[in-house]
Amino acid sequence: MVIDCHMHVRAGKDGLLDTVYSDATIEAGDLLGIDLFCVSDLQLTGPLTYAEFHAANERVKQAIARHPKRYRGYCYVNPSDPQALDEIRARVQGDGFIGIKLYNQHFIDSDVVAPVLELATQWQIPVLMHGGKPNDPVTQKLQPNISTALHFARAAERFPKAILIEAHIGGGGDWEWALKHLREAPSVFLDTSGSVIDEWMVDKAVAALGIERVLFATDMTMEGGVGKILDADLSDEHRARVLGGNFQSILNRRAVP
Amino acid sequence: MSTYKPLFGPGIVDAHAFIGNWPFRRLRNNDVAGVLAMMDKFGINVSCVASADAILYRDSHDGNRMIHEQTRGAADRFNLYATLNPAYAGWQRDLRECVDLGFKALRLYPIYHGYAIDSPECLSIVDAATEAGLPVSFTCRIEDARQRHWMDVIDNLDPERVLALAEQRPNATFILLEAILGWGRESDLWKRMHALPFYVELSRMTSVLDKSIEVMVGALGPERVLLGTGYPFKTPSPAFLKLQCLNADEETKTLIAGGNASRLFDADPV
Repeated sequence: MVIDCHMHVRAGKDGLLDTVYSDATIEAGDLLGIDLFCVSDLQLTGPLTYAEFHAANERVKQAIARHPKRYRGYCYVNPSDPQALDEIRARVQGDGFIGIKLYNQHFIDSDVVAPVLELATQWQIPVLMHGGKPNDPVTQKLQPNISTALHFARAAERFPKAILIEAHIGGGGDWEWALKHLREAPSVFLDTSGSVIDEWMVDKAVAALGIERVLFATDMTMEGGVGKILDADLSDEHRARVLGGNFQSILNRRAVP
Repeated sequence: MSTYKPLFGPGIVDAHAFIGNWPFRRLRNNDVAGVLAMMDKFGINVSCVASADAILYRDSHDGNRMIHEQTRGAADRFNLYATLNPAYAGWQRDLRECVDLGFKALRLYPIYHGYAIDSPECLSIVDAATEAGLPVSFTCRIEDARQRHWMDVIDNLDPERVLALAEQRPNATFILLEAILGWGRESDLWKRMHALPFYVELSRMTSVLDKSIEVMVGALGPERVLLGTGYPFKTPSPAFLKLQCLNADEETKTLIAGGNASRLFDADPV
């Protein structure tokens, strides 16, 4: 099974799920051979309140209800919100969400994120977090708290049994820099998504991290996301692991009471 | 999982590829043999290549001479872009030499070479290329700025600036590479572009979700869109997947896959 472990749904003008977009995602999956999308719904600017991430997670729930065989959900929270853990418990235990999505409100190794990572470790659910090493002044200004691979490595030292996924090797800046740090952080996974489709990128990620830590994803770069895996110099067995086997193994670790 | 199968006949032309080295990231398969191997794998008959080295050489023309020499043994498989800097000495003679050597189009990098796209020197080289029968190409970027080397440029080339230049020189033919044109179907920008001999390569747009390639084909017509991979900077399969997924008839896809580029590049320079 081909699993896109980093994809999104979004809001329509009425604040509910944009069904045109979520249906178009399924259509793209049919064309490109993607069986399952693991999705979140992000608010990209401004502070993230409970009401906002609760509504975002509600849209994910709507997407799953609309396409139950094709969507799985991440629970998106702002870790510093006092209701973050309650939201995670409700979504993961009550609605069957498969993991947690974090954006760039806080570095992943900061104390404010620690309770989220503790719960995720206890339940053995993945934490997919936005990350990267932007070298351009625009992104640096927009995202002062973006977690780099070094932040991920530090968080993994503190929570060695947590299932941490650094998002989009192709969407967050200097990916070669990221690989240097992630190769020293053996419990951190990396997803292949993002609009950057540099030749050799996936091969180098596999060489640095090992085949078992590289996870296929698109983050909305659909043809590019699939194409970069097809072009990587991998055996059929290894390609299948990247495309879904590795993430299925992560899902199999789930120990939610 | 879908894999690319050559659906589009023997006339596939990659309108956007390079040969050579890039100082900020190691490329692989970036010589003639490597690019030919990729072409054969994907059923590409002809690749339109520019020198990657020429972008940052002070004298870009050395890069032109290099790719001319390097591709001589497989000249029927390559169309060459001539990379020149109109703010540097002697470009007029270098352009004439490129024409004599059979180069098929001009490549300009105003941001890398430090001149304004609407400057007199840029207009001069566009005029000279047009007089020589060469289309003029611009690429909006080489690499994503977020991963830029600390000595690389920051800004991308704005497609609207290229369109404005084209409007100043309506007799010139323009090729825009690496552009993201997310304009709505009714945008006036499409109408302005449609009124000119303006071609766009598709590698940074999409046939699914927002379907920007479908919008572009509808706005410009199928004869103005070009298949391009960006190889060896970029991995090639995405371009083919975009063409596969495009909601269009086979005639349109055949034009995009190579018919348009053949018409554009095979026109003999004056």
